[in-house]
Amino acid sequence: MPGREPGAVFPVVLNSFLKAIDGLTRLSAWVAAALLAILAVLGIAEILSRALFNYSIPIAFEYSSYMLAFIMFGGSAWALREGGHIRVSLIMGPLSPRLRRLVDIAATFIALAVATYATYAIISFTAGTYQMGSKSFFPSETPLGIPQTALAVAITLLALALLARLIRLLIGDAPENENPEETLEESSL
Amino acid sequence: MTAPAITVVVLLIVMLGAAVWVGFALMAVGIIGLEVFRPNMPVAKFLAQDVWGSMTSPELIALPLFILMGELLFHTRLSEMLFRGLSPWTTRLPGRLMHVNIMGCTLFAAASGSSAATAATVGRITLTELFKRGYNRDLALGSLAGAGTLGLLIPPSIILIIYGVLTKASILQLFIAGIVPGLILAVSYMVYIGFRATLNPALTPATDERFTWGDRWRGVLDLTPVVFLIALVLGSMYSGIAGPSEAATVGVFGALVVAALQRSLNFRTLYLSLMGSIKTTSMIALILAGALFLSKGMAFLGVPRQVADLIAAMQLGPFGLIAVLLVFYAILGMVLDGLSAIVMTLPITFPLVVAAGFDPIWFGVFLVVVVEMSQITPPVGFNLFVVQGLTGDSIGRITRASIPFFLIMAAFVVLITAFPEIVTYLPGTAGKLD
Repeated sequence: MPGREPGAVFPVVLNSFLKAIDGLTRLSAWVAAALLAILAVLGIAEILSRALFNYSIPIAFEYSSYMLAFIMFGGSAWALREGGHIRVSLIMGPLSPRLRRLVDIAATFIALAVATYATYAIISFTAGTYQMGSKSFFPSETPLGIPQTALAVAITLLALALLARLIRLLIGDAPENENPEETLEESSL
Repeated sequence: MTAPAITVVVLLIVMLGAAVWVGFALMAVGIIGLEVFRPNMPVAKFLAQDVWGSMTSPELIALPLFILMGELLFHTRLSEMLFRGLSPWTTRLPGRLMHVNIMGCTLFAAASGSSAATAATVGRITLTELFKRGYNRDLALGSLAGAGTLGLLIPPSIILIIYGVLTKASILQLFIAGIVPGLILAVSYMVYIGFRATLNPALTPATDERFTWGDRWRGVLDLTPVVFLIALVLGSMYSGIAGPSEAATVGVFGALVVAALQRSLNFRTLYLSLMGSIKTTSMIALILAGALFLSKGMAFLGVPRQVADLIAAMQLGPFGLIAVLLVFYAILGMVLDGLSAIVMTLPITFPLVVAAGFDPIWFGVFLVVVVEMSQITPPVGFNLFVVQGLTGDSIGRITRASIPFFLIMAAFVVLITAFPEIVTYLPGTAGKLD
C-alpha cells in the first residue's frame, strides 16, 4: 500500500489529521448526546411547569427545535465511523476484497462530493442569515445564525469524516471503527 | 415529457447499487436533477433552507425521544422480566412458552419504535430458554422474526413518525391507528402457533413446568412498571392530553424510573443509551433529510405528475392500484430496508393513493405492514439479521421459518384493504374522551 513507509513525515501528518477528525466527530457526537438529554429535561420541565403552575417556559418550544437540528446531525460523522449509516451493501457481498474496496472508494467519493456541496450550501446560507441579521419570530429574537452555525459545523464534520474515510480506504486502513461502541446492535429499524 | 422521471429513477438505482449511503444518494439525485432540468434555480440555497427547515420541525422532536426511551429500556433487565412475567401465563395455551415470543414482542413494541430492537430485546432471552427446553427451533425462530416486526406497527413507531412528517398526516392519528392492527396481527400469530402445536405435539416438549399462582402474580408484579409506562404513553396520546413529543418525554422519564426500580440505572447505561440513540437518530436524519429534499425536488421536476399520468393510463382502479403497490413494495423490500423504501417512493405513491380515494392514515398503516413483511424477506431483511445475530442460524433457515408469518401479514393486508375500518375506526374516536 502506498504512503505507509515508517518514519516518513507525510504519514505522520496524515495520521494526526485522521486522529483529529476522529476526535472532533466524537466530541460532536457527545454534544449531540448531551443536547438530547437536555431536550428530555427541558421537555419534562415544560410539562411540569404547565401542569403545576400553568406557566409555559418561554424558550422551551423554540430552543427544542434548535437543539433538534444538532441532535439529528451532530452525531452523523461519528455514526459514519461506527458504520451506523444505511447503504445497500448487496453488491459488496459477492465481490472480491479488491473490488469491494474499489466500489467503497467510489461510493465514498460520491458521498463526499454530495457532503461538500451540502457544506458549501449550509455555510453560505448561514452567512446570508448573519448578513441579513435574521432573528427568530419568537419573543427571544434569537439570531438564527447561531443555531444554523451549529448545523453547519455538523455537516462540515460529516464531509470531513467522509474525506477521512476516503483517505483510509486509499492507504488501506479500515474505514470503520473495528471496535464500535457497545450500542444497540445494528441500531436500525 | 418523462425525461426527469426516468433520470431520477436511473440515477437512484445506479447510486444505491454502487452502495452509496441512502441519504447521500437521495440528496445527490435531487441536486443533479434540479441542476440539470432547472438550471436557473438556486439549488444550493434551496437545499440548505430545506435541511434547516426539516431538521428543526417540531413534529420531529418525538423521534429522538422515542428512540431514547427504547434504548433505555433495552439496557434494563426487561427481557428477563418479560420472560419471567409472561411464561407462567402460557402453560394452558397449546404451544405454551412459544407464545412468550409474541406477547413479549407485543409489549416491547408498545415501548419501542423499532422492529430490530424489539426482536433483539425479546429474543436474547426467549430463544435461549425455548431451545434449552426443547421447543421446535423453526417455530421459535420464525415467531420471533415475525412478531419482532410488530415494533414498527404498534405505537410508538419510528416509521409512522417519518410517514407523518413526509405526508403531513397526523402522527397522533397514525399512532392510534396502529394499535388495533398490531393486536390483531399478534393474536393471529398466537392462533397460528396454537394450531401448529395442536396438530403436531412434537413441536412442544413433553416436560411440564408447573407454576403456582404465586409465580404468576410475582411475574405480573415485575412487569407492572412497564405496563404502566406503556399505558401512560399511549393513554396520554389517545385521550388528547399529550402530543407525540410530550408523550415521548414522559416515556423517557418513565423508562428512567423503570431502570431505577430494577437497579440498572447507572452512568454507563445512561451513556450507552444516549450514544445509541444518537447513532440511530443520525442514521434516520440523513435519510430523512435526503428524502425530504428529493421529494420537493421531484415536485419541481413534475415527477409525481408524470408517474401519475402513466399509472392513470393503466386504468387500474383503486384495488388494482393497491395490488400493484403491494407487489412493488414487496419487491423493493427485498433489496432495501423498510425506511429507505418508504421515504424514496412515498412522494410518488402517496398522491396516487390519495387520488384513488384512500385515507392517508389507512395508507400509512398499510405501508407499515408491507414494510414489516420486507423485514423478514431476504436478501435484505433486518429482522433476519437480528435473529441470525442472536442464534447463528443460516439466513435461509430463518427465512423459511418466517414464511408462515409472512403469509399471515399478507393475508392481513388483504383484510385491511377489504375492511379499512379496522384501521380507521379507533383514530376516529381518539381525543374525544374529555
